[in-house]
Amino acid sequence: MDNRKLLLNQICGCYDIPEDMKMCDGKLKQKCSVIGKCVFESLTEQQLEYAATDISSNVYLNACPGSGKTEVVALKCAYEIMKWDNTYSGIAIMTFTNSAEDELRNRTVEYLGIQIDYPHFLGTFTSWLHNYVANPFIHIITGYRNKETLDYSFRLIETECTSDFLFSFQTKYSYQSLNKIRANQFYFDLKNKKYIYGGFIYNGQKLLDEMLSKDSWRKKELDELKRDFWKSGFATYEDIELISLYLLQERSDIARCIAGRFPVLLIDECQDLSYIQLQILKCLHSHGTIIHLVGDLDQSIYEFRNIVPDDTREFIKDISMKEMRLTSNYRSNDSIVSASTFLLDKKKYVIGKQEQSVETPLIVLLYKKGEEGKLISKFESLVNENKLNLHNSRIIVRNNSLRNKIYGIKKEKKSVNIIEDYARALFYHYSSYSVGDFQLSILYLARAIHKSFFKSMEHSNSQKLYRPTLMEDNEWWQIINKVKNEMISCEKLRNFDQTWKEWKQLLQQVLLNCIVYNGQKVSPDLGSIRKGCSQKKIKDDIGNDVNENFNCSVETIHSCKGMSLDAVLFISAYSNSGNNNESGSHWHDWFATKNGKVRESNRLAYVAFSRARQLLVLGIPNPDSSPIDIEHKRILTDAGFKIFLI
Amino acid sequence: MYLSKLRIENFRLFNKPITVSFHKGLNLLVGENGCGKSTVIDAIRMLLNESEFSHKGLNVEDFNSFSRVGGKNCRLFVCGLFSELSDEQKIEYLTWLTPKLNARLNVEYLFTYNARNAFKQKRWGGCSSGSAFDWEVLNDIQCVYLPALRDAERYLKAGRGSRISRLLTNLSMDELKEKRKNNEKMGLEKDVAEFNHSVEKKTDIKRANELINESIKQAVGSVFAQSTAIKFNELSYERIVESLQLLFSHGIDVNEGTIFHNLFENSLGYNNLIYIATILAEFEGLKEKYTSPRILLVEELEAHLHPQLQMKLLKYLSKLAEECDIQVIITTHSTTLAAATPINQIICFSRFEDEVFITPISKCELDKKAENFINRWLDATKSTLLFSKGNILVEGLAEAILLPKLAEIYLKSRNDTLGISALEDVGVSVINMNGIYFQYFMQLYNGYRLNLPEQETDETKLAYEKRVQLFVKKESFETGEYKKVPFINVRCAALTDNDPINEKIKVEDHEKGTIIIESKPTKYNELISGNPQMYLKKQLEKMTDNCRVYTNLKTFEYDLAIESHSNAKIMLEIISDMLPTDGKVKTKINEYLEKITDEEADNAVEIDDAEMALFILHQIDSSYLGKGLFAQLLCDRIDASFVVPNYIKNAICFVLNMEEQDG
Repeated sequence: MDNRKLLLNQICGCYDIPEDMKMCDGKLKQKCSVIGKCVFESLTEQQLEYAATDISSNVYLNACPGSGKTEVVALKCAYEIMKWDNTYSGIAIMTFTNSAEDELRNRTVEYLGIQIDYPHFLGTFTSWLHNYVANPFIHIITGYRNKETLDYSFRLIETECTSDFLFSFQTKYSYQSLNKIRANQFYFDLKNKKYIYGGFIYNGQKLLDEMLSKDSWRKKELDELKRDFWKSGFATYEDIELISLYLLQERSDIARCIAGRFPVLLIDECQDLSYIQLQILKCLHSHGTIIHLVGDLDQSIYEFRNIVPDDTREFIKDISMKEMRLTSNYRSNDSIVSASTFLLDKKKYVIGKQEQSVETPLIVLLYKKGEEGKLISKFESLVNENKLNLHNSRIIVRNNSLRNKIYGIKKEKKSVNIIEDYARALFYHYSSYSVGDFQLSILYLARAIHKSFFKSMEHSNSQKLYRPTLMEDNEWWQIINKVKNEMISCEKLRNFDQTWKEWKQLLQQVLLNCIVYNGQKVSPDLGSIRKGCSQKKIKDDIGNDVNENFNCSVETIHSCKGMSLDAVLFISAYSNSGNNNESGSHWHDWFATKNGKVRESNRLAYVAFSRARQLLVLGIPNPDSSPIDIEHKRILTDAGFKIFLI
Repeated sequence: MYLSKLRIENFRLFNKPITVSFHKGLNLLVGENGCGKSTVIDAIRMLLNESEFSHKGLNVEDFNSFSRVGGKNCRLFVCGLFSELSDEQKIEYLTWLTPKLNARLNVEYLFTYNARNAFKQKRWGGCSSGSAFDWEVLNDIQCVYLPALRDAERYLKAGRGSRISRLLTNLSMDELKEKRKNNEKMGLEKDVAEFNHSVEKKTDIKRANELINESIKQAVGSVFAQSTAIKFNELSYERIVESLQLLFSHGIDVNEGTIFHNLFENSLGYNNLIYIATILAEFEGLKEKYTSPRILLVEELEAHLHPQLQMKLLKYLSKLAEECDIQVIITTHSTTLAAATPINQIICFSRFEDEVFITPISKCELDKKAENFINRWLDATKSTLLFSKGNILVEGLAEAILLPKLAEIYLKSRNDTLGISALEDVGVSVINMNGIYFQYFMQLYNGYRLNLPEQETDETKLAYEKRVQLFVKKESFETGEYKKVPFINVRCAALTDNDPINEKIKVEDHEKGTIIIESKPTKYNELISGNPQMYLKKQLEKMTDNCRVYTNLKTFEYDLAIESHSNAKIMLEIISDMLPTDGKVKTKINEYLEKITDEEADNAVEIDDAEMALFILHQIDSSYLGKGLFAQLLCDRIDASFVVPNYIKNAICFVLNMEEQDG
């Protein structure tokens, strides 16, 4: 039987594609009626081939942008789950973000009719690891014991955490300008066999490297500090992955049980796998787990977290995975596909299947300093002219600093200041563009409340909004809400034209009688204003009312992952700042591959380019000091762009 | 996979963390009332989320009253360990695994209310509450509970949640699921629907329905009229089986003519048996289906059953436990059941100074000989020792009869007994050993086992055995020569006869060549014991606070008689009464009685106490009387004036944990 009929029969219960949709009584008839034809008719051979492929061999599905990857993964999962006959072993389907998890869950339910449930797992890699490996077993490695409760769960401490209890976990000796390093501020990088600094100090990594290579005792001190931290039941995200790997390597009996519990692991967006995560997979694979990777290594954009596609490539080679491909891009028209492929400097094998609806899909707009607003207006009129949907179009920038610049948000300093957190919470509350901004507002507020009112209490991590562990969830939410309402009801607080000093006094009054806990009033300790800032105006540090003159919102490359957009304006940084020319913020980095090797900056641009369905506009700076030259213009025209001035 | 250990904290009477060990198969929990047997059963139900328990929820009183005072931090905690997991179970119970790859399940309740006004509850597997917890895995453990007060009739009646409906739906669960998935009907549903359809067509029903319909039409006119039909409700499988009812007939021969009766006509005991049978049928019927542990909890198996039925049922459960790999945990106060259960399957509960002690006898590491002996020896009467708060082991019937009476007399003579006037007041039993087998029983209570020396290479078997004999009888032991083991924390005293060795004298012309001169010890002339168990006396004193051996001068009756002339007088009078003939014996009795009367009148007389005691002993032993009968007669006669020998007083003091008194 061919793949189409096989899947059709298994999932829909039909034996053939129906002649007349209205007569079809298959299980998916609702889904089919939405798209107007049989679901299985609309799938490509490549997609069907993967969905029907044998689950008992290791497969890497190389899926180009817009290839309907999520749909195929959902179909694959539904198909395998339906056939599954083991009652206590299951498939673990893993993603890297909660939104990706939700998306996949919804799509799978459409095929499956029911939720993915025991014995299977669908969730992020981290939650899977924490639930089934780390929490149950890493106490064996860390030696943490809670004799009183007999509960050996670890407590997750974030790298950014600066709570008081961490004083007990800092180095005895000072590390020059890094001061005494705390146990959550560094972690061990297994691949490069060195400690990574995660603290706030600029250039900290370089300093740490130097000190470690000079004084051998420092490494030992850090080792011991880390062990002590673990033994007391604490760990950072990075630690957990490392300890989990140690565990699997040391306790092959446990690794065998885990491999038995999850004989198949399917990982979506596999380009986001870190070296250590790959080692964990490798270990489970050696105990019999089958691994399916789905993703696009060209969209790997987390080098700043030491995630590089070569590691995954090596892994694929190492366990000799079978490579399958999805090469039809249903999102973008072929011009945009060509421009994207041009970035990677390789032979084009992806085909753009989207029908081209605009006359000129690839446009470069040259802009001068301070003309960002003008650039955006021009883009918006282009979108309208081409009858595309503005709400489904985005401005994409490399990083938050450019995004904030466009929005008028000031850059955030790395170290935490309570008063600034309160101000920022209020700022994001009044100027939220997205759910993300709203969440950010609450997060800042929660951190500020914890630090100013309940500093001495042990608290949970950012996922639980820094809730003091002795408090109930709803107790904590009530407190946050109370403070938020008090702050909002004080109109004067909204005035960011004040100095920090004035604002702090006002805030102090507002918060004074705000919180009652355990029947007692708690008074806040706001800490001090950042050095040298007390006479500065808040709007200069945080931002003011925001540029609201444009309709489409701004995304960073990392936040636009997975999106499908009618039109994209991808703005380059104005100047090519200094030494780090691979950051990908300036357009020069986007195009040039080095000796044919694809770099992170190429991939970043690739992700941004490939979001666009019909129209891709690049915002390219054209400074008076060094106007764009012929050489550079040629690169752009070679890529297929037409160049305009604004 | 079976529940091997249970840890309980702050649940009801357990104010200190306590751990109970269980075995595979049958476990019999014995002990006095109020020492936590049912609490342990309920802790298992709570842990495994047994349906009835979880339905009822937790009460304030379920938190230990001492720790409840502490308020917010009061934490009720139960944790169970499952051992011997198969490879498949290790995978299924992955997040429950401990470092040694056993499985652990924990449940915690905090004494604070959550938003729904219930105690805050947390349940997790393994060593860490942050792990994934899949309820399916827990629900895979089948736990069935049989309460003590069984209203069998109610549960067996037709209706929602009846035993029968539960049994039937559970047995046909797979078929039901499959049919429902494919939108098909169960056979039973089809049959009932068909019958239901035919009901409508019966002439009487049809006519009634027509009349109703006609009346409606007449009343409201054809526009507003409705239609009716007379038949049974449309029934689903679950509803049908709920209306089924269990009937019974006497005997097992069933034929066409057998009449079945309603259960309320049946006896309480048989209804209980039927009830238990419906539960066991579920275990039997589904035994292929479950790969995971199955636990049957029975409170007071003996309820409503006569001893023979108790034994029969126990044997069946025991067989079921073994053959179908079911863990059966039973609480009982029935000495019949205790006696019928191998000692190593018994878990003994006791309470001492407000603290509960739980001792699985298998953990006492009884040596094989002791274990076999106790298994043979424990009968329904003797197994009371498993339920008592203290035991006095005696050699024979006479002591068994007289000791409670002597204790009463002694306790009355003391003024510091805090209202205790008899042994049964404090739950102390007197156990007749019919001989001197204390050393086996003491192993239940003494808490130490000897590390016997190894046979050396050049040592003969005989020499080795001799060396072991000597070793065993040592008065005390160094570290390394023994190890500590769990014990039943109940005091245990043994009363034994000193039995001095009789003197043998060679006589030339006697036919046997020797005559035996019986020993006549007195308080001033104690003789060396001939009792082979005597070594235990000193050894126990050195090695444990829980067991003691008390001895007399010669034998029980001899010592009663020699204790005082008034004692002797009563004893002589009884003998005199029972004497069938007048003769030399009668004369001698009268002589002694006269002397004692003289003495009471303050006249100087000379009595050889030892001689008289020996005489009394011989008479009691003689054919016309016997120790048993004599003891009974004596028991009826004695009063506060009877003098209780010291060794008996001391034994009573020890078991009751009272100070010994001089004199």
